[in-house]
Amino acid sequence: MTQLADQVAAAVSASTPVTLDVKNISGLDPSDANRIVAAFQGELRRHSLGLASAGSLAGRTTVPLRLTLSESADAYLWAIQIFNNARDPISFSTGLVSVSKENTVANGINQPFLSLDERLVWKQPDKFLDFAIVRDATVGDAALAILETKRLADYKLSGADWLLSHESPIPQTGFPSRDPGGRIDLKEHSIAVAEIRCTGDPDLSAKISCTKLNPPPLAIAHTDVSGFAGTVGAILPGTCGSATPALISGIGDWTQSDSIQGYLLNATTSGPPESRSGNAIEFDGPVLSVQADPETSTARAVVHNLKTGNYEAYIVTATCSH
Amino acid sequence: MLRRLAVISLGLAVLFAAIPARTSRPPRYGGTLRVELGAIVASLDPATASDGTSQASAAKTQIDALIYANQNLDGTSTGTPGTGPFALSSWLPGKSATLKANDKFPQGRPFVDAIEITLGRAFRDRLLDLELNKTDLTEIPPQDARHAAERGVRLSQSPPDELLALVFSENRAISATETHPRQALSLSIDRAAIVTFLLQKTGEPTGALLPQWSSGTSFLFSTSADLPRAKELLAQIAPAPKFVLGYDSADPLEQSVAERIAVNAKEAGLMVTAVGAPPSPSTTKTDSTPDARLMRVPLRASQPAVALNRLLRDLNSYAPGIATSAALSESASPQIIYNREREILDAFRIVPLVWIPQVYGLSPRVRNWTPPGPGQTWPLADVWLDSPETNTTSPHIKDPE
Repeated sequence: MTQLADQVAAAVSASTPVTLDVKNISGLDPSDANRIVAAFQGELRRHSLGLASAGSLAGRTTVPLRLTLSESADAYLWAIQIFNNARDPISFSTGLVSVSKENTVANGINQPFLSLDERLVWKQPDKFLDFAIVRDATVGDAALAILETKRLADYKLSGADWLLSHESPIPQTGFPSRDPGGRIDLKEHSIAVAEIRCTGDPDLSAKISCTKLNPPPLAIAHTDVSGFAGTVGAILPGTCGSATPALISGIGDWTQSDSIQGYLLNATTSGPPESRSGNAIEFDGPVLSVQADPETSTARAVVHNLKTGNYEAYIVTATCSH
Repeated sequence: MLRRLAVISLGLAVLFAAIPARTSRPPRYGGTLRVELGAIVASLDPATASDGTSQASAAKTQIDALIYANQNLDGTSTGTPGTGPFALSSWLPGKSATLKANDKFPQGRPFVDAIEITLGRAFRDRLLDLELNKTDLTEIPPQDARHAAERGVRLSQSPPDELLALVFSENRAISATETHPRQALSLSIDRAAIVTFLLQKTGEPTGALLPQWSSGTSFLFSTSADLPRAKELLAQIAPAPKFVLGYDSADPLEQSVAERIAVNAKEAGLMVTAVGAPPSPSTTKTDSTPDARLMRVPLRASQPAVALNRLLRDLNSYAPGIATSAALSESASPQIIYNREREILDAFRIVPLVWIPQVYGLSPRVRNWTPPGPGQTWPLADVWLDSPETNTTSPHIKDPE
């Protein structure tokens, strides 16, 4: 899919919207076909190509694309036709890739994939670095901790609203950072902001005691997933098929919309080291941090919504589907 | 519980043992398979090339393969005696052959004891013999398959594996204006009508050199007629060109297709005259040599790169220079194969029309028959025959294939 999208990107200007027509003339079942199409659409978006529905751009020049899922005697074939000659509507350029039928698992068909779902749990105008939901076995979400640069705020659920119940200041040292990074670790009953580490009671709802550490206690904010420089992300616990799931942001700066994409990291030496899996979740601003929950297949994401100006907290759940 | 299951199983075994076998699911040895062919084969000497039609050549290849197992790359036999599943026991040149099973065949003795092959039998007689259970296996012309099915004949059909194409013999320097008449002719042809009416829906319209099931890219080549575009191209040429289109005078399908093309071309403003020609196309140019002729070219392999190489080699024997590039590697990517097809077809020396399957008529007692794939021969060593007492099926049964 990457190869086909690259060919489209080379043939079409990013300022020209494209329309996509899909045909499945292979023996693939509809669910596999839909997954392949979704992956291709994701690749087009990665190239910043505007995907429009036919008829929605009356009067504007668009480049029609036709993706055909076909098969030959020994392989599946994905064919993209690029109709980029407005004066000759029957001429097109063609890109083809083949996927071995004998190795379909390694090539994304019938392979487990990640379905992502996001839940907005908090938003506020002021920047925050991380958040944590303290759960209670009987009442569910019992408390919400919001970690800002200068304070840890603790909220309790009252009806449908979170109400501030307690806040703990975080001592400031040295020069303030533009990108300090911070993390809440409920398992260790601790928080970290830059070079400050604080510990408290299990739900961090009472007094905390802080110390300055040198070097900083935690590598914060940026992903430690190799091969994804310039992104934020996290590796999730467990496996999906034989691969390790990971959630990775885009590579834009803080002025751009962003997404979180599921990946499957291949621990074996054969096959590609990582592959996109499932659909990405789109956000109206940059993803500032992604922290994996060590107990579940969820991650905490902090997003700066450029449309509203708010900073938003999301729980992103990755489900491994077959 | 286990004891109870064992008792039930024993009871079922006794029950089955008491019922005479009604199916032929287990293989059965014995019997004589009767085969009728339309072609006339003059010699079975593997060193002698067929001097008849392409059908005669194909029939000779099939019979040779039953006698001599080892084959050359082009499908012809190496002629080593005793290597095939059958041995020739009697031979009347051009009329009949009897083959007996080779007990020492390395892959195992064939199920049937013998094969009786009758040559030069007209299609009408073959069809009648099938209906009367006087023969077991015969070829059905694809254009007659629907008619045979309507008469209750059991049919077996291969994937489309024979290309009917229009091939221009002349290899002149290619310029845009020289390809325009050929392109216009291609655009004028109503391939869908050829399949629907002349082939009675047995076949696939094509604009490609390989069938869709082999290459997976046939759909990228248009098969639609486009008369306005054909006329537009012809308007750029004066005077309008004339073509003589040759066809195998012994092949009624080629004749009807050639006449249909002439009608289509006339609608676009092209003058095409269809003329019957000797079965074997000659590369020697004479005044009577047609500008183009219809050719039926078998697919000799399933793998697309290999299939394209062999197809071009076959076409090159009639139209030298039709493919000047080096042969494709067997591992060539779909993109490379597609690009090669596109490059050749853009010269409009070959105009693909239809991919045609092979159709066989079978008697009800024939078992374990599968239509041979490209480059394969009839698998008659694998066929067995129902014994008369177990043959309970109606003679007018349509094969699920």
